[in-house]
Amino acid sequence: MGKGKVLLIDDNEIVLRAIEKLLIKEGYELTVIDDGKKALEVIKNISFNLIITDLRMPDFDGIQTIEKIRQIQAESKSSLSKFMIITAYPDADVFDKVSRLNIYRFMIKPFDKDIFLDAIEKCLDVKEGMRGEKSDFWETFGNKKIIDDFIAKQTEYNKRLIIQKGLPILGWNNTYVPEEIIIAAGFIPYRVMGASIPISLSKTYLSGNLCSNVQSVLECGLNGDYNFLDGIIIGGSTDVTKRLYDAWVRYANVPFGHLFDIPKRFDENAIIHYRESICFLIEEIEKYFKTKISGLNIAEAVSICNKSRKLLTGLNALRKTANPPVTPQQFLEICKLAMTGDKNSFNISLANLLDKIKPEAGEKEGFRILLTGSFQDQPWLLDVIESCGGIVVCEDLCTRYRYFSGLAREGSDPISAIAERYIKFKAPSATFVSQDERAEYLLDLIKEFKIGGVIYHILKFDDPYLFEFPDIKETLSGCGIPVLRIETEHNTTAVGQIMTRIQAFMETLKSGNPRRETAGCNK
Amino acid sequence: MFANSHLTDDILRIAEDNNHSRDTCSFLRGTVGAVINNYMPMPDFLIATSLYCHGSAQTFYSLSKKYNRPFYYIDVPYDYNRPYAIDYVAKQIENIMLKMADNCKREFNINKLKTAIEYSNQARDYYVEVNELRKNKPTPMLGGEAIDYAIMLAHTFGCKEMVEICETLYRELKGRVDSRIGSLDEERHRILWRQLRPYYTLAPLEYLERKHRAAIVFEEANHVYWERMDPEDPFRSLARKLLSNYGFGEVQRWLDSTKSFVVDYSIDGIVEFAHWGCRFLSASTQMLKDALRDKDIPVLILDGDCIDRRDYSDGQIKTRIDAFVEILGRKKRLKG
Repeated sequence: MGKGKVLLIDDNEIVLRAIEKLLIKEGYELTVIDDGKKALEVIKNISFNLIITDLRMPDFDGIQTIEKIRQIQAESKSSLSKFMIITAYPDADVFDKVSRLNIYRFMIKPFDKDIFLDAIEKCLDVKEGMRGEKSDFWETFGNKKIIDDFIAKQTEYNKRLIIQKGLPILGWNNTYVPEEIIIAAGFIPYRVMGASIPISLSKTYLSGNLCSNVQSVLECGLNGDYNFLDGIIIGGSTDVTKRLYDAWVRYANVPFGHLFDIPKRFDENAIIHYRESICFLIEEIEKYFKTKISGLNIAEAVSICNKSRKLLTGLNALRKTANPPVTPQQFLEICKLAMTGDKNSFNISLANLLDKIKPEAGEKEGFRILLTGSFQDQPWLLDVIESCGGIVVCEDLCTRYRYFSGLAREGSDPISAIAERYIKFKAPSATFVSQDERAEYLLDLIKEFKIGGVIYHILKFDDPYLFEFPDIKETLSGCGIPVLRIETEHNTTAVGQIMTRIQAFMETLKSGNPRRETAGCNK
Repeated sequence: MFANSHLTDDILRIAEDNNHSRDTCSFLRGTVGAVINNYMPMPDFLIATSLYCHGSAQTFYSLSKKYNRPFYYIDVPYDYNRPYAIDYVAKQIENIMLKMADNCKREFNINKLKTAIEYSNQARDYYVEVNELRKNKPTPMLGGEAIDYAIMLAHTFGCKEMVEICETLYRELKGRVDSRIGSLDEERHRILWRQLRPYYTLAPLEYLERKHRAAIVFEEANHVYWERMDPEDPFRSLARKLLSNYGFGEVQRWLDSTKSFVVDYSIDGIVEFAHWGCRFLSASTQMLKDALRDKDIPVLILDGDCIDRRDYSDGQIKTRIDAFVEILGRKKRLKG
């Protein structure tokens, strides 16, 4: 017996003969076929260790061939083959389809002879059966490409949702608005965020001494950027967001508006209060949209949201490693995708992505930074920190960790379970009167993510963070953790100045050599 | 108090040196500075509500840690009309009162609370009458005097002395109205004042009233927005009082009451002193202007700071008041 039985399927005669010659010379038992359909007959009689197939073939393409072969092998309980796809047309669509197949290897033609032979050798060197074996798929592209493609695909998908407008879409602005209720109503939750555009219209309606994120969100609303929404739910987390609601329902084009009242403490009263806010929201949605939201609908929505949270937590956990496979910019985009589209589709795609991401070897150069503070949804700050020698490995921000942290209990009384999650289990924001609890939880993150320094980012006029900062700074500094406070505006920030300050901060980190060492308190 | 005594420069600076941003409300920043400078007496406890201002609760919480004293917080739902709201707030008030008594090592005496509510009602009744009298032309009391009563409204309702003060004020104004004595020799315009005033100077109010004869006939801060309370149901009554604060909840509630002041007090124009650090109030300014558009009432927004005098510009404020009064005059002439 040779080195292993290989079936090669390709409609290109030249490729077929070239590979045939190569593999026979290497001692493989090779069968060649120029059509996927014919392969289905062959595999009924012969068991192959590896099946290499072209992707684009007339009538029956490589993906259909693989799916059909797997089905036949499963039904006949014969031993399962491994698969390799070879193609000269590796576009994003193909990549997405192939990535879902969980095959052994994907190679782009023309390929290097030695790499090709090495891949086959490695493939046949392991025990029979492809199930349970980790795919080498990522080797073709690496984590970066896989994640970037996921982001591109999902972005496109979310955009299509808006254009096609199959289900009603309800906007929300704050991570204390329970997306579960929107989903339970059969709608798509969509987080409204500002954009990098100059603020002009919103200044007509809101005074200049208000948080620039709120100004920017209203600007987008007034510009008509959110005209696709069937309604908006504004979380009344601060004095200003309450006025954002007042301005939005008066001046922006929105059919349904609701202010979701949010308590400011973590005690049992807060749970009662939050529960009442949920009940009010349900009543309002039912009344306006003439629908019924059942307990079962809510329980299912809890489960869907929990799934997203678990997946994002899993992805975030990869960033605890010495060489995080996900960049902070990618992580930001993924979190934004989670907040602006259909959760079911997002969950499936993200689960698939997590299967493919592999730990990166080695250690990424730079100081491990925790970014905390105000709303932040632009990659520029991450770029600046990176360019100054920092790696943001964790963001205690409402667009990231504070969005997905903490699960809701699944089971009976889902409304109470949601209230408990938002008040007790979700990472707290400064909109709660809770500087001590916030500092404690930041210390936990610092330990967990092996943080060397904290960048505390405040949007101008963002009161909760302006008021919180002195206490947080005192606690963290007391524990020997370097803290840099930077203040920006959502749209118009002097990047040069911020960069200079971050560079100086990195210099202080360098002198203290805190890399990978957490100077945290012994809690 | 510190601003009146021109002591704020120091306390604000020390707060800023301790990481408190200059963009935050100076009432709170000043309090922090005063605590750092040991200007404040040691409290037995600190208490805040969720009404209006988020920063006050955060500041008081922080100070409670510094003083190592209990912090009490009354969570007032924004959805004030929800059926649960009154009982929800009442329960908190009751619990906090019991804790306060315990903390001060005193027995909680419900009868004393009932008495305080009786006094509060009596003072309220006089104050409602005072506000009624102020609707008269000419106005029996100017805003420059009246605006500081708002502080008493916030701090002394429930005391016996407040009943006497309100009664005295009522009798004084009643006498003036009955005798048709105005506060100005000539009342050219009638002004509604929104928000508070700069506490380090009375200049803008005096300039309006003395120089331009534009009488500030009412201040929103002096509005008695709550109903009489029931001494036999004290906690729920106090809860109702908190929930009926017109400045809380949807902005429409506030705008409606401003519109009613315009009619009730025969207002020609509104002046708002927009305190720099106050987001909640500043954010409603344009909505107010829009709401009053059909009533053709000019609104002057004076940007400034109630406590921090470092950026105060007397000249600028006066120029803006001059222009505003000019508009009022033009409108009056057009109306004939």
